[in-house]
Amino acid sequence: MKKLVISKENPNGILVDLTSEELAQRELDLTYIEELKQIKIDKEARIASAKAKLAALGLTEAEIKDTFGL
Amino acid sequence: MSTLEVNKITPQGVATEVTLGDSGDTFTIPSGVTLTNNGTANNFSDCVLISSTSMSGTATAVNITSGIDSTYTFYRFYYINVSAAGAGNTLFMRISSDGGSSFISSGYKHTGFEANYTGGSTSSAVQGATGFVQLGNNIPNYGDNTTEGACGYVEFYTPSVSRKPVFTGLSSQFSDNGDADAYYWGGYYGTATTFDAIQIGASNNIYGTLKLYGYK
Repeated sequence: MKKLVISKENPNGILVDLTSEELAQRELDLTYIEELKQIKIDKEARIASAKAKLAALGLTEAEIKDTFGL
Repeated sequence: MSTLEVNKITPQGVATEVTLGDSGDTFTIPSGVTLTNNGTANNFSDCVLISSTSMSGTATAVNITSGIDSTYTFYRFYYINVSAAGAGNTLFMRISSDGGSSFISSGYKHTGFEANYTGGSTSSAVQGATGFVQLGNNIPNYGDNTTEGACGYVEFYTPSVSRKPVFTGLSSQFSDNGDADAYYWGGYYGTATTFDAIQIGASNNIYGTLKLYGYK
């Protein structure tokens, strides 16, 4: 696993192995990114549920979108 | 008025610089004259290309550790046709206050509005993050199709002034599941600091082009 480091000495970049600290941070990052994705998935599920309940009340898809922005 | 006709001007002796005129002088390039630059032209514009980086899937992060200082008032960082290996990648940016020895991984307050169009229906979502400045999520998978990418920019301001750094930007992309995504964002890092390096990272190895410009 590598990083590309751009510096005055290496303006085109030089590939460097990630340090153990950077590898540990990367694991934390991947977990954090999955948490953010799950937040988005959960929100989309709540919106889909709300749309279904509104549709069950008789609203059309266009009415739901125009009125509630869903 | 006299005319100097030569084919080349070279510094004398071991010197490496030539100075034209003195303060207050004016040099005029007449209409129809072409001035061609095949080298580096400094300070001819309020916008200067600081670095250009091509990424070919060999690294999960790019650290830009030079050129971010008090020279420019604000910086605009473009990412062009960026994708990453694997599905569902997030692209992010972080700052460093120690020249890139370490990058700050918490304390950001980032929010963005994502509009999505599948070709048949639209949706939108407001997103937030504290671990980085999120440049894009679900960016194209290079392994699926090498012609798909995310394009956008992030701006940051007065990095050499100790303030809570503010970031603004937008991106558009062919998302990993084939939708059109437009993403507008803003935010800041919550502690007053200077910074002199940035890191662009992703979930997996990154492809594409990065260009950093400084503006006076």
